[in-house]
Amino acid sequence: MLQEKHANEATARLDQALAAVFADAIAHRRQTQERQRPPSMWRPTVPIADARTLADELLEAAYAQFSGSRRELMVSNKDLEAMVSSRLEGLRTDALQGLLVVFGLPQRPEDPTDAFDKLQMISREFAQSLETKVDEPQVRAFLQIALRGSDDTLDAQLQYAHKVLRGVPHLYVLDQDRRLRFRLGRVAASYVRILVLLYHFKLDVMAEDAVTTALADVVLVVRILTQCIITQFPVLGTAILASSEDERHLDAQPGNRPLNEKASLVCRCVVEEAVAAPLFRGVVAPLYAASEKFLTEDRRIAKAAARIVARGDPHELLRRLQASEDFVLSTCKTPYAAVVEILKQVWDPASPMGSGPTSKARLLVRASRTIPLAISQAGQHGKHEIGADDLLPIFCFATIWSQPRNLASLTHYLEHCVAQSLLTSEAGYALALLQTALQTIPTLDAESSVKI
Amino acid sequence: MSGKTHHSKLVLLGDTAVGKSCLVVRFVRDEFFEFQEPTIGAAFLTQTVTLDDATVKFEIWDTAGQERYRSLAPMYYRGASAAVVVYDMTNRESYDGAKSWITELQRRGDPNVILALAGNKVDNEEQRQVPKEEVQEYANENGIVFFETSAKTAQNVRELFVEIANKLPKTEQADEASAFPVTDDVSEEKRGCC
Repeated sequence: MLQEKHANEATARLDQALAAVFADAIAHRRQTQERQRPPSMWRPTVPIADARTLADELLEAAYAQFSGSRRELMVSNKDLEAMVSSRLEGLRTDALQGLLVVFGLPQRPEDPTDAFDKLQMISREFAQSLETKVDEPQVRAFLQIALRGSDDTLDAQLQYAHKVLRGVPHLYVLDQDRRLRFRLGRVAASYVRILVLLYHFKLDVMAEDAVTTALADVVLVVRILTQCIITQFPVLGTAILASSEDERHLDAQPGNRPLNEKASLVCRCVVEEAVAAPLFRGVVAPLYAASEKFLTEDRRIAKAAARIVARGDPHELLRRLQASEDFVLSTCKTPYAAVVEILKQVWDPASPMGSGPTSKARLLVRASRTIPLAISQAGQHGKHEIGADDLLPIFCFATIWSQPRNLASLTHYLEHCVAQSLLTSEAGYALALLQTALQTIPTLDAESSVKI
Repeated sequence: MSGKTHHSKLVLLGDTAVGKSCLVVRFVRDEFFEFQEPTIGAAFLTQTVTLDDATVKFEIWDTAGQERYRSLAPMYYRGASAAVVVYDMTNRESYDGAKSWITELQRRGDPNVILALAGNKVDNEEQRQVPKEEVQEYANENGIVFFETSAKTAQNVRELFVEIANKLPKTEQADEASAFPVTDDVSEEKRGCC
């Protein structure tokens, strides 16, 4: 009975805390929307005049969801964990995401102390449900990251993160048991999901350069976690490396790259896919969809590519892009089909592969590396090395032929989210190829129109 | 030699068919032939040069020489610490093109970029159209590294890149990855680790 009472109390506090954050967000929106003209890039999914009503509806829906869950509450800690987790997940995908897209949320709650105390309780309950011993200062530190975020220096944030993650003592004794290692990964991932969830509240889609700012926030979260894993969790880092496929193809020539850099890339990739991919899928896409600028640009490029494809055969297009005659592959009905297929995965936001920026960069590298392979397989051996003179036209062709629907926003996304350390590597080169295609498509389309 | 490896982005510029990719393939293969993947292409390659006091790892970005892609070159040379402009010494036009690349880099590029001119195909002396003295004078006036090279015979290819490596400032690496070593500072945390 006592356990049930505690669970009920925790649920009630969860309701109050999340409602308080929502209320703060909506109040902030109400205060600012009257005086804040939508910037040109903002394309609201509902008229601003209806926003207030929608806010109330969303809040009511959130409350209803909380209440429904509370009635179904089970008493054990395991059940509490599952309940909290599923409700937070439900919030993220439904009401929270709706709020994110429709409203600019405040940089921090108006009254952080109140929300802070209540959210602290959630975290403690959650930690207990995972049978870990996380003490008060550590939970507080965790929440400081979530609630204060970028107001602190990166060093301070890392310190907080380290304190929290170090507060899970059994993480360090699991390194010899693969099952426990798996569990270790789950524990860390759970923490990060909360971190990411709370971090959502900091996104402000109404800011002038909102997309870039929001992306920077998302990237920061992923970066902090990756760094924590690499520096403070050798066991987890080892487990990730052991369970991952070899990622050396990110490098043109492995061998010389320091181990820590390779490990960093692998961890980043794994963290992105395991933890941040839902964030990228759930938040980044709506961010771009809410931007008039990117929406227009994406449509312009997609239409241009569609017109180019509709006008001619693939071999003629390769010639127009100034590909060498050897590499037009006249005998192939659809030249470079394998490259086109890989690029389609890059454009597809729902693709299970390549949701995170590092993974998408990896796919781009794979696409560019498939070009020489395709040439070899077509039996073209006229030139031994495939330099940029040959590669650029073919990559542009494959991009056009794969009919990208989001090329402008995707390029912007990768420019801002791929790790700096990758930008001079082969992944950076592949990104430059993508930028080349982005610039070439409208020019090519315009040339065709003039000819017609 | 110190243990530090300095990463350096190097961009290759020049008209089509002057031998940019042949030059870089020659440079890379001489050192690491056994590690080459035959299907990787030559648009992006890496190669390490070991100096007395440092090791420089070149990340070599090739650019397209066709006119269509010329205006996009800044995407490729952005952030480069060195640029090698290649011309064909048997083709006067390609030398004029190289000079226009140099002008563009001087005007739009980073002033600290190490610039180099490579007069390729020197093995084909009988068809020479660009006198070495003329280019040497131009290079001296502009403070540019200059070598006449042959991708075919490997003449001066390695020398060109070593000279560039010597001229590069050997600054500390401050990238994200190197700031967070994986194994060095965690020994005290490891208990019974394998």
